[in-house]
Amino acid sequence: MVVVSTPIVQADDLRKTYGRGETVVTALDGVTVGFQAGALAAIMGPSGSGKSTLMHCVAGLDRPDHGTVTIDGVETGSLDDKRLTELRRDRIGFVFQAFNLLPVLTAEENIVLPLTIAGRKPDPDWLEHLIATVGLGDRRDHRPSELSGGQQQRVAVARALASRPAVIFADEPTGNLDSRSSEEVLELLRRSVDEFGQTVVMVTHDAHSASYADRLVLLKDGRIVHDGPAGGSEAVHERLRQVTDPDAPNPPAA
Amino acid sequence: MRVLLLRSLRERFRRTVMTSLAVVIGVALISGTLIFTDTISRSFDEIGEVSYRGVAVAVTPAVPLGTPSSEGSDDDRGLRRDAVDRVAGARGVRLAVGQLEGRAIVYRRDGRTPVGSNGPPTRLLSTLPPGVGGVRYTAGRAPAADDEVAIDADTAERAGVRVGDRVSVQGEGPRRRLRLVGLAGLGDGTTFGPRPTVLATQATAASILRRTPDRYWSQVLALSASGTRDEQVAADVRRVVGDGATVRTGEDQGARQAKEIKDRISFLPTILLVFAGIATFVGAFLIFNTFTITMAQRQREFALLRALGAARGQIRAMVAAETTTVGLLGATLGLLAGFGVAPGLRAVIKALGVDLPTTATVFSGRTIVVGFVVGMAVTAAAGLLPARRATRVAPVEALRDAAAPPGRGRVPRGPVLAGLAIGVVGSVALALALVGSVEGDTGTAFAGGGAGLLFLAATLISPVLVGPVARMLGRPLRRIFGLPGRLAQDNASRQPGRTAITSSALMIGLALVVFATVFAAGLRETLRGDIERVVAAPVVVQASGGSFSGVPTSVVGAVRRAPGVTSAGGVGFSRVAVGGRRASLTIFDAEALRTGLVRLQRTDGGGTAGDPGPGGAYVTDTVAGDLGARAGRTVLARGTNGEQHPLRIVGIVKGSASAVSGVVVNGATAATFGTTQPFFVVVDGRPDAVRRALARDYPATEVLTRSAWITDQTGQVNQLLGLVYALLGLSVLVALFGIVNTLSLSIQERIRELGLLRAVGATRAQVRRMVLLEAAITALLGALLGAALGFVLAAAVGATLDGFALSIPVGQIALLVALTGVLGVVAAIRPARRAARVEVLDAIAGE
Repeated sequence: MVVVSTPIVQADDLRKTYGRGETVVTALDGVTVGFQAGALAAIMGPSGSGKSTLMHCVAGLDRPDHGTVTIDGVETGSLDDKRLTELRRDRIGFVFQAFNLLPVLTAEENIVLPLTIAGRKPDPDWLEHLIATVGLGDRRDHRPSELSGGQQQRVAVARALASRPAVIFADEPTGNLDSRSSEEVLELLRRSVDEFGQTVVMVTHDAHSASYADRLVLLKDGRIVHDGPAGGSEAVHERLRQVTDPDAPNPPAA
Repeated sequence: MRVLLLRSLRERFRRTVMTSLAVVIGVALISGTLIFTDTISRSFDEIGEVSYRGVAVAVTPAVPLGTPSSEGSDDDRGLRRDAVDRVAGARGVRLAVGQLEGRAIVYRRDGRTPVGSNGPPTRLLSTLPPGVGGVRYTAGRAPAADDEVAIDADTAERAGVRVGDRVSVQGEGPRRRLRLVGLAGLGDGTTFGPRPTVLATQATAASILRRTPDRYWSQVLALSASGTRDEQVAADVRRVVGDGATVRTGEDQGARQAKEIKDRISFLPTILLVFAGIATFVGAFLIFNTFTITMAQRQREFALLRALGAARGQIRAMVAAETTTVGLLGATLGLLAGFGVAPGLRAVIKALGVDLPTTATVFSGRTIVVGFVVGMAVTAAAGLLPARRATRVAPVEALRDAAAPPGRGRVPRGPVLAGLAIGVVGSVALALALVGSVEGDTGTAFAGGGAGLLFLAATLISPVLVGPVARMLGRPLRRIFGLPGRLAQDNASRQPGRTAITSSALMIGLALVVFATVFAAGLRETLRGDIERVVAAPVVVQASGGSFSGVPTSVVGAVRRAPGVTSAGGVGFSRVAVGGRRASLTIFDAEALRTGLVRLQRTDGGGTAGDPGPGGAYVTDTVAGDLGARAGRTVLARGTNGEQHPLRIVGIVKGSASAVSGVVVNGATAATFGTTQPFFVVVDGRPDAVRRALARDYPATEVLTRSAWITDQTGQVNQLLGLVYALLGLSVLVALFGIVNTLSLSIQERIRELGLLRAVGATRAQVRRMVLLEAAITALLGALLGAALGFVLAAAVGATLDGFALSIPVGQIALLVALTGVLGVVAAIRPARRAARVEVLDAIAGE
């Protein structure tokens, strides 16, 4: 099945280095990748492969040294800080590894925070639907400190969904969770794609998490070394092993 | 966003309050001073108004060159006795009455201990006919016979005497025992303002005060016939009394009297406001530091908001709102506290011996405005930089590893260079003010501003000193305390900027304390040198407790009659107008000069000055320069009695600020200018014999040997120093709050690290000790810098004063530095305890 559609997020020839002289580290070495709407993509790779940097650059949190990023038709390189901030606010949702909820706000207040920042009122039906979906109906007035890790992360997912963004970036969303909570969060991300047609890009180092994705992008040394359907966790494992094994020859970039 | 702001404030309520405390102290002191000043100011207005109620015109002796100053006493002025008849003869005057006023001593029940010797001297007033002036008797009646007196109710209570008792009163002669027939007050009050007041009939007052017909009335009051305007009557009276007297309407005179008193104590609010300003300045450092640290700690929060799409402006607005809240809270609490401070100030001043009158508390709009403006402006200014930093956080920070404690901060070079530049500007401003290139109010502003800039410069430069000083202090700590000492040194220099600001707050307080200490020591030595050079007499008689009320005139005669006394003479101070300028008048009895009890060094031709003789005067080199006077010339001088006499200059003597200044005449010459009362008496004789001779009639005097007297005189500097210490103590207190705040914030930041320390086997005691030692290092850093800065300032100011003997009270300074270190440790007790309580698991669990 070949769906020809303009990707909602498109990155072209991204390059980024840190440090200088002897200690220079090439985090991204010419990465071109596009993410189609209504799909869950997983970015994987060993430590230092550049996967986090890729996500930061694609999500408009960091600027690449070279190359362009287009989100929902907007080329981010030319945006000033104010425009970029507005783009993040209105078109992008985030889920971080360390839940990143504001401890002084309740679960519900955290969920609507992006809307509050934008000075908009949440659509009450959508909010109820969201809270029901993430299964926090009875916890909406609790502070983050009164929630379990899984619950906190579900709040974070709901927050990302609240403004119905063009794309949600999830950075190791299950990194701090036990397996049951991980399961819940991954289910939730999956459902947001299937039920709401949300676009999700997830960075992970966990093969099981990646198996929830439609597509797997593998990075090594700042380059894409694999890009294709994710398959089950066994398949992901196999791909990963090939990439991380120093003896294995680098498969050609897709 | 508003929800977030309110939640943030509520969540960090304790911190918010802690931070606003820094403003509270300053604002409380400022508003308290304003309330206090407004209140006493109104009281004096009321007293002035009541005192001259119904009086059309008041005639007083002309005062040379404007308002009297605090030098000398203005009670020794006098109008001629016939002035009252002349005033009575003026057109429109229905009745003219004279009133006597002079210094007096009231004794307690025991008849030996004077009442209120520490404040303004007690005064004796002659009574006025009923209906003139505002005196009201709260008990008994007005004195009518020769041996009767009335006393203000407050003083009577302090003296422990009641109506019907006998009470001892002393003027210029031996003490007299009189019968207390009434308790009096002005208007509705129980006092006559700050001065204890005794009332007696005119005849009794004249005899107690030893008035002579040519220096008799202190004022003559005229009541007008109905239908005449006071101004018109004043003009008519002015015509008959001539220019030796000042004529004002009763209303004017009341206002004038109020203004004179207010002017006299105007230094008080100024001083208080200066110290309040210092406390506020120090508070600004605390606020700056607290905001800087909390903003750093909340970086992830801000980054998250930024990642979620909050614009910079939104973060800035939120932080600004938090800052404003702190300012508002601080200003409000400060204003409320000001209500407590105002009566507190009055109590302190009362404890110092001056009971200032107060009506209902005056809370003016100005106080509110000033309080809020200062509180908000200081907070806003201090919070500006941290707020800007908060908005500069990159959104990507939100994704970094959780709660990593800030790494080793480097010292940015910019602020240090700026500090050096500011230091140069500050030094130049200070130098210009000190050498007198800029004068007056501009000079004061230059001096104050220059000192302020120096503090700022020291603050900016101090981060580079944190490392070396911490190492210096850390070496012995490491040796004594081992690991905790090492870590304390490390922690103190980990964030040099933070440590520097914390200690800078303390530095300012200590710099001023050391400045005052060094300056006071210099002053004491200067004073001692001056007095030692001039006074050679083996014995000196002064008023008990060294009060500035002086001794009764007749003491000199009583001393001379004492067995074994070969010579004695009074020494007094007043003022005089010479050649259109005001000058001090220093008075030595001829006998004191002739017999060498006092030695004045002549600068023209050398040798010691003798008796200048009647109508003769020495002038100090300064006055000689001002007047262009030489020996042999005659100048016209006007005294405090308004009379003008020629003075023949017989020579020039070396002056000194504290002992000999202005124009020097003998006692007889001084009398023609209206001054007879000595401040003390120099004697050649044996102290015990003199003491015995004075015991019966003059119990309010004390007889001291020369060295004891000099120590007593120079010791008065210490009293002043004590007051300065107390006021600066508030600034030090604010700075200590800073240490508490910074440490508890740092500890919060280092929870994981502390847990790790505990995990690898550090005991709670070790952790506690580590924090305490860090506080000690911070405090000592501030103390050392402050001591150095304070010493430099004192030396700079001292260098510009003529003949200032700079001395270094090493022991005292060392003690102050050590004390500051101890205070720093005390301030750290609570944070240290909290650090020690950190549970290993909690810390490792993170978040």
